[in-house]
This record gives sequence, structure tokens and C-alpha cells, in this order.
Amino acid sequence: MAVRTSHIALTLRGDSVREGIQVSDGQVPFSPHSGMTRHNTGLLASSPVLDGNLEKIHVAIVNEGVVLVPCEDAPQKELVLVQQYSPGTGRKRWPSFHVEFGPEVRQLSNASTSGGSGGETWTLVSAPLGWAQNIASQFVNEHDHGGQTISYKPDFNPREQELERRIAEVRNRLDNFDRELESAKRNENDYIILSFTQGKHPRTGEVQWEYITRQNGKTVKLVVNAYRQQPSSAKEQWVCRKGRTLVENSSFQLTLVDLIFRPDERNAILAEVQKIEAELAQIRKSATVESSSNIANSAMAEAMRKAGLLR
Amino acid sequence: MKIYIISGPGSSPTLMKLETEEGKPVASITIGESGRGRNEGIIPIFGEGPEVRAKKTEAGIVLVRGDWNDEDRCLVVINAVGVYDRYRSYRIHNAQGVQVIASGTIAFGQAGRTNGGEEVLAILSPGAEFYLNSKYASHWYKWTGTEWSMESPEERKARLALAEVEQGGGEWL
Repeated sequence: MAVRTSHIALTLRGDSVREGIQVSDGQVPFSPHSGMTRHNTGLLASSPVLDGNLEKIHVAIVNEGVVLVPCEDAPQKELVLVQQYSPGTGRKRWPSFHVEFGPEVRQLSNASTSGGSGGETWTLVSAPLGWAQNIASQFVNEHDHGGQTISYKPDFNPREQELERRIAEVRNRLDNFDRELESAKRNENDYIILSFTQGKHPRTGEVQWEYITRQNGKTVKLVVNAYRQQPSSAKEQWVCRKGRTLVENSSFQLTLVDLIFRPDERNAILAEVQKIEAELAQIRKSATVESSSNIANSAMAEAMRKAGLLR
Repeated sequence: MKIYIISGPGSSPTLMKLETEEGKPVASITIGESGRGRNEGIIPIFGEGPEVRAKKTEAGIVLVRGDWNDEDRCLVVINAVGVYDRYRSYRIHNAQGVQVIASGTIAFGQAGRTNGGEEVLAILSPGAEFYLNSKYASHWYKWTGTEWSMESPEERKARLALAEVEQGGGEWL
């Protein structure tokens, strides 16, 4: 009797891996979310099971196509229904999902759309265990991220990728912060860096955050706009934008200001960058150690084999 | 033999009535169409009875009505031409057990040059099958000897693949 490899059935779509492959009327149906299917799409696979979800299966290849027969053996490989897609109308800014199939997989069948907005190609592949999850964890399903064609990377570390993305974001935030701070410092007419003290509104008696100074023999009072963000303590320094001047005469000027950001927030962002960098370095170091250890083990095994100690 | 009509690719075969709505017997069947780049054939129908048989004469095919109910073959008029498409192949594909006894052509364009296809009168043996293309899809037809079945290419492949595996064929991964 021919050897049969038991497969675990999985459905891969973008960053999602679902257990099982759906069967309807004895076929794996092709039901794309975008594109048109008015033509013959191609048969993905047939099964003696008429309707339901196939979980563990044996896979047979015949001239007419692929047949999936349920079994109960422990899985040795994965049978993955890869649902590649380009989003259609209304979802164009979401990333497209495509897979570059390497020699580690065997493509068995596919079906695709051939018109309409967006498009999908579903491919049935036999792959090593962990393949689908590896592909899914590399896909970034975020608005405006851009389409991705993903290939299988056995040593891929999802945490490393996440950290790389995060550090890029935080560095970008730091650059923006520096740029805004520099621009505020240059533009003295509109922006000012201040600390405020608590005072009282002269008529209503309500608490207000204010800064009082004298300029050209005139008392200048800068008051934080009561309808906007307020400082939480007198120690905080803020970059503020000057707003409307409410009172101005020969001896007094009252101007509203809006708080923009605190210059010392830079330290917090910098600390976050350093923290992520440290974690990334740790991950890379352990990956290198693991890889060196594998090389050392192989070298030792080779040496022992040559010495006749190992077959 | 009963006589069926497939009015176009994807249409279900329907039993042809041998009487008009006024109750008069149908005198002939027209295959194809007349005009430039086209061929038309007219097959006369003679006699009385609920079924027909085709007879080959020196002048051509004639259908003779009679009462033959032990026949598992059937006659069918197949119009293989779908809606206009410049390059689609509108003919009878992969025919098995199909004996064409008269044929005509249907075409698009005034001069019949853009594209076209065939319309035929055929005798089908039990187990006969063929497929027709419509503009976007293909449709398999099968005459079992008593009734018709229709399948999409995917349904047909699924059925055949399953049968092959059940008989021990194929390669197991």
C-alpha cells in the first residue's frame, strides 16, 4: 500500500491562519471576497465529504485534480489553502497579500478571479509544519502599509519584526519632535517656551495657569486657554503657541496661549528608543548564538563521522 | 427517438413539441441561419406519432414521425453559439457518442466574418457527452439514455477525480 502523509488542513488569508478547509458539495469552494467569477475558476480539490470542515487529511493527486480524504493520523505536513488577494473597491488602501512559493512547498491546484475590482488567487499547497503561521506572522495588515509578497523564512522571529517596526515609528516620532521644537524656537513671534504658575481670574475667581512678565514697561500676562490642555504642575515647561490678545493698553497686555508639547517629552521618546534597541540587540545576539551552536554541532558531528564514531 | 433542443450554451435541454400552438404538426426544423457567411439547413418532418427517427435520403436527412418507445438514443438540436465574443470557440467540444446528421452555421456581423459557430442536429447514444462554451464559462452535457445531466467543468473534474481515487488510482502525498 502506498505511503500516505497525514496533513493538517489550514486556511491562510493575510495574517490569519484558520484551522480546517471548508468543503461544500464535495468540493473546496472558491468564494473570493473581491473580483469576479463569472467564468470557470478551476477546481481546487474534491472530497468524499460532501459538506463540512476538513481538519486532518490524506491527499491524493490524480489526472483530474486533487482529492482530500479525511484521516485521524498525527499530521506530518500542512495542506494550506492560501487565499492571496488584492483588495477591491473601498479597500484599496489596505495591503494586498501575495505569497512567493519556494521549493519547500508543492503547489497542487489553484483558482482565480479574472475581472472586477481587486482580485484573488487561491492556491492549495502541501507545506512543512509551521509554514502557514510563518507566512501569516510576516504579513502586516495595516491601513496604508502597502502590498506585500511574502516568502517562507524558517528563522523568522515575529517579535524582531514587530520591534523593528516599532523602533522605526518611534525614531520617526523623535525626528518630528526635534523638527517641531526647532521650528518653535526659530519662530519666536508665534511660539514661546514657558512654565506657568497658578493664578485666579480677576472677575470669576476661577483658577487659571498664567505667566506674568514685564516687557518695555508693560505688564504682559500670558494665560493658558481654559478650553484647551492645561499643565499639571508649575514645574512643567511647555512649548506654547500665542493666541488671541484679549486686552492691550499702554501698561497691560493679556494674551491667551495654547499648550503644544513639553520639550522634556524628548527624553521619554529617547528612553523608548533605547529600550527597544536593547531588546532587539538581545534577540539578535541569542539568534547568533543559536546559529553558531548549530554550526558547531554540525562540525562536531562531521568530525565524529570522519573519525568513525558516528554513522 | 425523442427530440430535444439546446437553445444555447448553458441552456437546459428541452423536449421539442411536434405540434405548433395551433395544434398543427411541425413541418420542419431549421438549423443555422441564412445570409452571408452562414449556412442554413431545413430538415422536413413527415408522418404522425409522438417520436421521430432520422432517415438519410439522397436529397438529405428527413425526420419521420412514429411510435418508437424502446429507443434509448435521442435526437437533439444543439445551438453552440453564445453571445458575441470576437475569439470564443462556439462549437461542440470533446464530443463522444454524438453523431451529427445535419449542421448549419450562425455568425455575427453583416458579412458573418467576425465570429460564429455551429448549430447541429445530432443523434446521441446513451452515455454521450460533450461541452459547449458560453461567453465566459463552459458547460458539460450528458445523455444517459433516459435523461440529461449538466455539469460545470469543476463538478465534472471533482466527480472523475473522486472516482479514480476510489478505484485505487492516483499518487498519495
